[in-house]
Amino acid sequence: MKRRNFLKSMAAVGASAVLPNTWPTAFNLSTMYQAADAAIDYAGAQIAAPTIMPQVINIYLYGGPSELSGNLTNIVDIDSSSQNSYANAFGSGLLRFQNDPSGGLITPNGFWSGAGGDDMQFLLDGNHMSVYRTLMKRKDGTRSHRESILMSQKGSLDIENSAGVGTRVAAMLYQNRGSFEGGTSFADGSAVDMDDLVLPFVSFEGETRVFATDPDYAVPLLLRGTTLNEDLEDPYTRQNNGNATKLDAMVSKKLADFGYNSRYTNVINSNDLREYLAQKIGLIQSASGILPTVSELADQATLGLPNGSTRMSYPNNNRYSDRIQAAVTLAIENSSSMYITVGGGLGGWDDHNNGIDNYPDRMSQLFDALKSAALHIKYSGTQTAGVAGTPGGGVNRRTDNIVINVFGDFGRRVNLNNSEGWDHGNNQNLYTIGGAGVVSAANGGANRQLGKVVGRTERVGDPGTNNQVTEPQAGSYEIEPMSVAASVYSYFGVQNPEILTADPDRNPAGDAAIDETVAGEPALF
Amino acid sequence: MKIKFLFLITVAIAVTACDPGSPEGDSGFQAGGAATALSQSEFNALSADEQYMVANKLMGTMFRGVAVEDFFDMNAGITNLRPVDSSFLIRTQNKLSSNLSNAQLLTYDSIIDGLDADGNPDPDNAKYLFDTDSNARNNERAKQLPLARIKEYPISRDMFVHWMAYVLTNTIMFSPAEEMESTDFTDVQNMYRFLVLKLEEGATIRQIVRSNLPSLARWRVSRSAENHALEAYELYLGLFETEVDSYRGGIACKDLYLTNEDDGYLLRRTDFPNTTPQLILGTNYITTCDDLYDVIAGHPLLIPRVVEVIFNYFVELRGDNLAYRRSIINAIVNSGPQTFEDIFTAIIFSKEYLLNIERPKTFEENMMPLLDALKWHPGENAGEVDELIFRRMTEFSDQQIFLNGMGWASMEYKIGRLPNVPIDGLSFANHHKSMREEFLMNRSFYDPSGNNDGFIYAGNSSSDVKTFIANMSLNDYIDFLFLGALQRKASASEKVDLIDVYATGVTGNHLTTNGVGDQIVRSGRYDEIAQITFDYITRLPEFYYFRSVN
Repeated sequence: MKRRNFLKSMAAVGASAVLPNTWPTAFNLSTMYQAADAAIDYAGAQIAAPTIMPQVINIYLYGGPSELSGNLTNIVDIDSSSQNSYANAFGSGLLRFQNDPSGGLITPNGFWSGAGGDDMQFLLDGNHMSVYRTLMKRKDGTRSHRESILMSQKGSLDIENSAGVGTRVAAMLYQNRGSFEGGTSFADGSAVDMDDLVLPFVSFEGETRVFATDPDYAVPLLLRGTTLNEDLEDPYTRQNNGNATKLDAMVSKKLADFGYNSRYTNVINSNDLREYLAQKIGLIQSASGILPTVSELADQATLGLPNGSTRMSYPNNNRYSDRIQAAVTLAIENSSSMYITVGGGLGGWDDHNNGIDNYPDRMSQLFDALKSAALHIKYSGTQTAGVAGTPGGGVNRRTDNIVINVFGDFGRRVNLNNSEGWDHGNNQNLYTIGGAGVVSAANGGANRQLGKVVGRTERVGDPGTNNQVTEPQAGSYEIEPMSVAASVYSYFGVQNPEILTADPDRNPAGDAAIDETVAGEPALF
Repeated sequence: MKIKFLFLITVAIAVTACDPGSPEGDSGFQAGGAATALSQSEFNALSADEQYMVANKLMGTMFRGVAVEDFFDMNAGITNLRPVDSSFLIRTQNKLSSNLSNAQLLTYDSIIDGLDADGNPDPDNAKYLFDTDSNARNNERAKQLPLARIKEYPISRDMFVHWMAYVLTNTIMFSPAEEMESTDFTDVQNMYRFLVLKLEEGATIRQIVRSNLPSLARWRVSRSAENHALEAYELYLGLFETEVDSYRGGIACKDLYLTNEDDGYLLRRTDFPNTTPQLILGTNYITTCDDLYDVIAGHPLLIPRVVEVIFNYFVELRGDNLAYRRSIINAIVNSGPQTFEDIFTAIIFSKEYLLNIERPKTFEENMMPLLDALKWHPGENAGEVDELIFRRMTEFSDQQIFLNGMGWASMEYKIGRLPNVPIDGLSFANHHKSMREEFLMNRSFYDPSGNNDGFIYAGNSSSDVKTFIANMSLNDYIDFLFLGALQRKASASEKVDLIDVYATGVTGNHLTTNGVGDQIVRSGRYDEIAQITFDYITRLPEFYYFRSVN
């Protein structure tokens, strides 16, 4: 019996066994007990290995942010249909363009000035970022946090007992190592050797489902996700008392016993990673903390650098700065860090209430930090004209292989509810930053294309009710959450990333990578 | 409307007809099938070492430990271990079913808090120090006191209730979600106390869920009418595809909303209640939020969901043990538990849990039982294991033993703690270093006097243990240390290797020979021997697991 069929039959038996006959048959416990589906066909990935290995930073906004800071194109209709007035809540300027004689908060590309919109506009105008406004969950419209997070972080509709996106990247690289070793180098020019990678997959958010293991394929320990804290501190190194060698030798004797070893595998692996990080963390620490100089006046101005100062900085009193700076620093200083996750506690963007007070400020802080990240990357790389490329560690490298993706669980309703917030919706924005030197198969082999807004939306739902959302307009380009994962795979050279997002039952065709050649929407004014 | 009315009557009967519970905890509930309890005779049939391991697994799950000298008859020696009685399981279950008197509770609370004549905490006379921030919203004492009570209360129903409440407030079902902007430590305290009071009075699961749903603490987590419905389906019924039901639930709850920050995140009413019946979950008509609460509390999926959520914390969640987990969940559900006490008792006394389940320990499960097993007493200048221990675990972010650093913050996460203990590199490193360097390598932990001429349990008034140990052979002493920290004896190979380290390690030769040429511990070096032994033990992966017997 094939594994998949076996699991399916097992699930069926279990589900029927747990439900007494008298219970309503309309309910089942399948969501609790879904089994993993068919094994992922990593070897079936067709690889056109990139010359330079990409590096992806995945910033996940737990809770699911409202799309409005990045999309006010429907705001007049939304305001007139909402149960509670946006104009009253945020000021009437929210309904007007910035060039309106009365003043307004809508930027040329429809961003919300005062909610990160000015920094979004800067990033867009400087070709640092593109925005996809129609990241829409249609294949599975669940508005549950859990299901949506897992869908995004596993890049699949098969969310139970399945591998995370980071694990899928790792497995794909390892199973196809012959395609990368020899032909691809890291951005600092070093060769790719799958047996000797330094911090290839890193989480700055503790344990995350992005690195959920694959039940059908165990990637080598070094390619599994490791966790760092945002201060790049070293909790890994033991205090040494001189007996370590003898005591560790005793432990090694125990581990030589296969039964013992397999019994405690998980903790043994964690301890191995701890020891490994103890050896490596010092190198990262010593390289961090020195930011590059900023040569262009416009960039100096937007960073608010004091007169005469050219050393870039991240914003102070900003809840996102430290973690984003740490992730970018790691990517720059350690070009073999290929997939890095950054997130916060769930609930951070789950603005069911009090959005008026919190959301604009939070969005402003996020994009202030992301703007610094984009310039940190820009001025640390040799690809920037007139810049020597001297990041803190003195690494001489390009940095246009670094991609930052920003998105969350789902979008939100657009009706402003009675608690001054927004309930769960299904359409959200994807903000994708940097990586101008990265190629994607979905682009016909062309590089990533930045500096545009893709996708048109419209408000739908009965006015005066809570059930109002935006959806892609007819004919608009739109993508599923799995497409974000597919794009990541394509950056690593996978020509058929659908194979890594497919699921025989729920999503047999899988999802393609984002076509970044789709034309952007024109500016509003 | 008729349908709705009939349904509500049914629910009302379902909720109110349940046995309100007695003050004592033994409801007579017995789970069968795969969740059958381990019997005393089965326990007694285990080897003495195994009995001790199982006893500590049972107690350690509740953050408590059993010392070697308390479990075994020390007069019988270490070589031939002999438990002091043959009714450990029965006695423990009886204790967990028996409430302390108010006078007893006052005694222990006085020890913990140093209560003065007026009943106010007096830090100068307290065993532990807690947060004293005068701003109640920021005062983290509500996270700290439960740990102290679990530690200090004798094994009793009161201790059991506090432990159950602590576990529940760390699940998605009852987490006060202190990480959120709309919550604060008042919610932590209220949610915890709510559970303690309800559990104490023997309230049923359905009654507790019904009482919790309208609470401000729950609303501060859900925050809007529609999300209140959505989270109710998810948290208590395990239903995750409820777009339409959530929308309709939101309509039923539309009279309620949470005010903004400036207005204190309070629950207010719009004064425009819904009047149109809404069909939810296939067969239930509701008009008001109270109707929604009744449906949730009376729903047939509630008990299976609750059992599943709780049980997942007591087993390692793996793709290959799905059927096994399900068999135990089914067995408990099919036995008809009414209270949380029924479920917890069924799980931790089950034969499967005590003999067969193997899983990584949480930090509380690893560390706190050692406080008992090694007879710890908070001493001054004891590093992180002093009277501030519970503040350091829950409040001080720069401390090694800070739970957040292990991905295991208390009562903080909106989704509760994940069922599987985080053992990513960072979380495990912090757990490991805490156990090794702040506890077992820190001689102040077992020598609170801070004097190097002390010995394990120097703070304990009993000198019997010292006498026993002084008369032990070196091998027996090693076994004694292993049992206390690892619940097994050392292997012959381990003894040989450790003796080599004792004799030739960097801290000098801690051994000498007696009159007949046997190696013995040099006078005054018992602590050094313990320190080296514990250093080794903390390097063993098995130290971080509740192990199985079979």
